[in-house]
Amino acid sequence: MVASYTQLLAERYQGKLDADADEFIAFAVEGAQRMQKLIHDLLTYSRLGTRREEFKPTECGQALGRALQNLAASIEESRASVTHDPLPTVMADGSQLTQLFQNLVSNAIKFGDQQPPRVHISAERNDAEWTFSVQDHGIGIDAQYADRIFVIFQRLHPRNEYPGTGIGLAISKKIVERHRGRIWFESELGEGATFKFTIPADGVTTWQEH
Amino acid sequence: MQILLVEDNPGDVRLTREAWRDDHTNHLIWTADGVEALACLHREGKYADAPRPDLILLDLSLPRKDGREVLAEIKQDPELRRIPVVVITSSDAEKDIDKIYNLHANCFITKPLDLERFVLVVKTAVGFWSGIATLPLQ
Repeated sequence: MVASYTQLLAERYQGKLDADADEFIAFAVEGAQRMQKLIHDLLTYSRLGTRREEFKPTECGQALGRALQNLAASIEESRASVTHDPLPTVMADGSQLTQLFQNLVSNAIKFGDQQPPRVHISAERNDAEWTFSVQDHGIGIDAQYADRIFVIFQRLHPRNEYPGTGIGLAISKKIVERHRGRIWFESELGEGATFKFTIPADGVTTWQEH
Repeated sequence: MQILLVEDNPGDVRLTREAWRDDHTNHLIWTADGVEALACLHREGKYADAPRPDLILLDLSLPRKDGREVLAEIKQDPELRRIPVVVITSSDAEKDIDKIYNLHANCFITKPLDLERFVLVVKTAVGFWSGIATLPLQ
C-alpha cells in the first residue's frame, strides 16, 4: 500500500511541485518498491528451511518452463532469447528447482550487456551427478568474487546500475545444497558468465526429450 | 570539514545532505561502494585530486567491498588510520558492533529510522568531530 500511494503521489504531482519534491517522491517510490522486493525475497529465503516438499522425480525441462513463465515479462521487455538443450529428470523439490532456474536465468538477463541478451541452459552427466549450466554473454564476474557472490546481501554493483536485494544467489545456493549439489560460476570479465550447479543422478536417470 | 560518505543508497545520501543543508562548512564527497571509497582515499584514478577527508561516514553493506573490509584496510594503513571512521548502518546486530570496534572504528551508530532523529544523529556525530574533538594534523 505504501508503494501504491507513493506511486499515486508521483503520478499526480510529479512536475507540479519543485525539483526537491520530485526527488523526494522518486526516492519514496523506489524505496517502497525495494522494501516490497526485500520482504518477498527474505520470505522466500526463510521458507527454504521450513516449507519442504519431498523430493520426487522432476522433469527439469518442466521446471525451467515454469521459471520462464514466471519471467515472461522481463524476457519480453529485454527481448532475451532463452534456449536449452534436452534436460534430464532428477530427484528434486520441483518448486525449488523452478526457483533456482528462475534466479539464474533472471540474473543472466539482468547482467546481459548485449541487446537482446542470449541465455542457454544445458545439462551434462558425469558419473554420479548432473552438471547444469546457465550460460550468458553478459558483463561477466571478476573471479575474486567467487565465494562472496553467494553470500546473502552481497552485491557487486550500485543499485542504480543493477537493482536487486542481494538474496537471489544465496537462495540458489541453499536450494542446490539441499539437493546435495554444488554451485559455482565460470566467467571472464566482459565475456559473460556460466553458472553451474550439480544434482546427484541417483534415483532417476532418464533424458526428457523435447 | 571534508567528509567522505560511503553509502550505496542514493536516498540515504540525499538524507545525509539534508542534515546539514543550512551549514556550508561541511563538504561532502560521496562514493557508492567500498572499492571506490578506497580509491578515493588513496587518490587513485579519477580521485587523483580528491581532498583528504577529515571524517569518514561508512555504511556496512556496500557493493564489491563491504564496509568491514574498507574499515579494516583504513585502520591498517598508517597513512589513513588516524581519520575518524563513523560507521553508520541499519544493523544493530551485536556481532557487527563487536566486530566494528575490534576493527578500530571510532564509533558505531545504528541509522535511526525516524527522519528527525536521523538528522539529529548525523549532525551530532559530525558536530562532535568538527567542533568538539581536536583532530591530529594531517
